[in-house]
Amino acid sequence: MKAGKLRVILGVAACTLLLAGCGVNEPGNVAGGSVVSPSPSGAPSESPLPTASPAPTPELLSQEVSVYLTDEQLLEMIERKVTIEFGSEEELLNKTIEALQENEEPNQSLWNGIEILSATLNEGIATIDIKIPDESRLGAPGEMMLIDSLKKTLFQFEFIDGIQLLVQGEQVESLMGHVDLEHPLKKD
Amino acid sequence: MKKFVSILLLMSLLFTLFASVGHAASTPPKLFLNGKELLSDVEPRIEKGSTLVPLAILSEGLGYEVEWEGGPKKVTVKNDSTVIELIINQTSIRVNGEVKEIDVTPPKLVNWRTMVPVRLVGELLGISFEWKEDVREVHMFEKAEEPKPGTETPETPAVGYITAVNMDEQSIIRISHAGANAPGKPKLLDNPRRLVIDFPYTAFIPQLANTIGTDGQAKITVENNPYLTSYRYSQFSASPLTARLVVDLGDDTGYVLTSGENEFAIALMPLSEVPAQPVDPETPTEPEEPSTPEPSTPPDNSADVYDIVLDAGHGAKDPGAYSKSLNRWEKEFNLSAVLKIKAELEKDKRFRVHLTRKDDTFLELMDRVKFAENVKADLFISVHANSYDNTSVSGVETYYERANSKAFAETMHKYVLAGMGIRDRGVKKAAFKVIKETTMPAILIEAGYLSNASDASALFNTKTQDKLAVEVAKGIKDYLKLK
Ligand SMILES: [Zn+2]
Repeated sequence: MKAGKLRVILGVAACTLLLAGCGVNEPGNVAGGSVVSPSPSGAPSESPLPTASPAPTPELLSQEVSVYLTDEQLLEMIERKVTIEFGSEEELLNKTIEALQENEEPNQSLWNGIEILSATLNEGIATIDIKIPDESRLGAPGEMMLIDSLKKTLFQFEFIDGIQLLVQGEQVESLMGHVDLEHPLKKD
Repeated sequence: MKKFVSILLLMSLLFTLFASVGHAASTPPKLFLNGKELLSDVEPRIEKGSTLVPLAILSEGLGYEVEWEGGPKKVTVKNDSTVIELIINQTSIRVNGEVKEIDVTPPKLVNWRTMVPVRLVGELLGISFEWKEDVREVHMFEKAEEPKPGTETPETPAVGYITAVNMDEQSIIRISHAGANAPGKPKLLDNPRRLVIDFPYTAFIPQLANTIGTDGQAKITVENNPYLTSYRYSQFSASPLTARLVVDLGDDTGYVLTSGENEFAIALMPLSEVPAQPVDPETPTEPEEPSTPEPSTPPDNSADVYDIVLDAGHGAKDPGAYSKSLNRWEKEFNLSAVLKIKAELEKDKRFRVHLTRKDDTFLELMDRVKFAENVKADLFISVHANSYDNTSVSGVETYYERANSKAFAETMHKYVLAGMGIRDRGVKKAAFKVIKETTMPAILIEAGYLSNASDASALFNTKTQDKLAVEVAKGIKDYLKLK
């Protein structure tokens, strides 16, 4: 009886060692790649200075910009023109996304329910980190138009060649489970 | 109910958190015992470096004696020499009565199933483990010196689902199901007088599971009926997976149990009217033929059998669209509809149905595509429900992408419309991943708008879902020009 118990304890100890020893082999952080990270682009994006324009102009510029909404029947995209004042291209990017999120009844912004965590510009790539509240998840056609409206809106700018869309820092396969998301989205 | 939903949300949130650390969730690991793959209805998952498996893997797969006590949420696993006791979410375990602290993910409940750290338990019971990183496979080997006498690892029987439990005006309780195994012999108990019927290897579809309260059962009280005062159902045991129905009978009530296609019926009547030779419940051949495990089915040569892949959109951390009016999620509808379509199609032996997901699990879109290609599907149907900010938008849409899918979409759309009985928003072409990258005729059905209150109530109406299943099956036969 006693010997038997001892054997079990030894067994347990051996197992514990085994467990610890095998830790290296365990399938833990295998994926690498897309770890949740606070700075989504991977690049330090703190610098508020415009990166693209060589000589930053102190005075505000003004530009007429098109943003794309969806008609009330979710059938087609509707263009809406807004005038945006900005000091840098990154500011133009951010203000354009803000405008893209506004409804203009009866037309709807599919971006209305999406939270923008950050939008930064680096070497022609707009990196937009978003959060999708579960209640804002769309069906297949809505998801398609969501992505198309962003592309159509942002690719009107010469200075944007690609859009890196992240969900809470991660490169996801799909935003809402119907459309596969390119990383980054490219100008056609 | 509310509480239950929030627990569910919490659990899926937890899962999402774990899943975001490394791509753990994307490909579930595969389990092998002595080189043979162990299959189960719930996919193993890796959390914080530990592989969690459903209890059935330990009992049916590895042949251990496993007990589950719902009250203390305790799992006991034993072989001849070792007894291991684990409690859900606790890092203290007992090994032969001695308390041990573990440093791996403790056992937990995931979508009403008990998941246990297989390596911890297996190693304590003398199994050696090998993790093959590149193929994500867990290999287990029984020690040679302890051969288990005459054990050929039994196949895990296929799990069936109860899709509805209702009573009609004739006091017949009908249990609709998709592939549920025939119940064991009903037990008639006294004090209080009740009838207990167990369905082995059977779970509830999420819609029904949602109705099970924190006390572990869903109870339907019946008023002014001499035969019964109530009936209730529960997921009685997790291992072996057992669904239970209890009918609280009047003193003078007898019953007759019959099984029809996709249905068991319990007719209640006065004792005096029960047929003298009580109809035996179809002498069930224990757990029914373990239908071939899903993902690895090699398509056989029988040319007259069609392989149909049904893809329930979304799952687990991706709930899909939301119905505000019903507080329900798209993933629930998709799964329920797909289970019903499967049951309907399988009435015809010419169809072999494969489901990309059979429960609330998450699959990447690419995994769904690969699944359909692997089983060499003849047809692919992805089932979804839609949403838009404008709540007046409603109706059915059917999508295709490739030229070889257009005719299929056009045929199916008519039948889906007939099944749903809501507005027609037409057949459309769009490049959704699962219909773009598969190669067989493939469609994606948006069966209605959850954002529209009237569509939503149709989508979650059992009768509408039944009709939809019947119509989809008809549509497939029409497209394939069968009968
Ligand atoms: Zn969907």
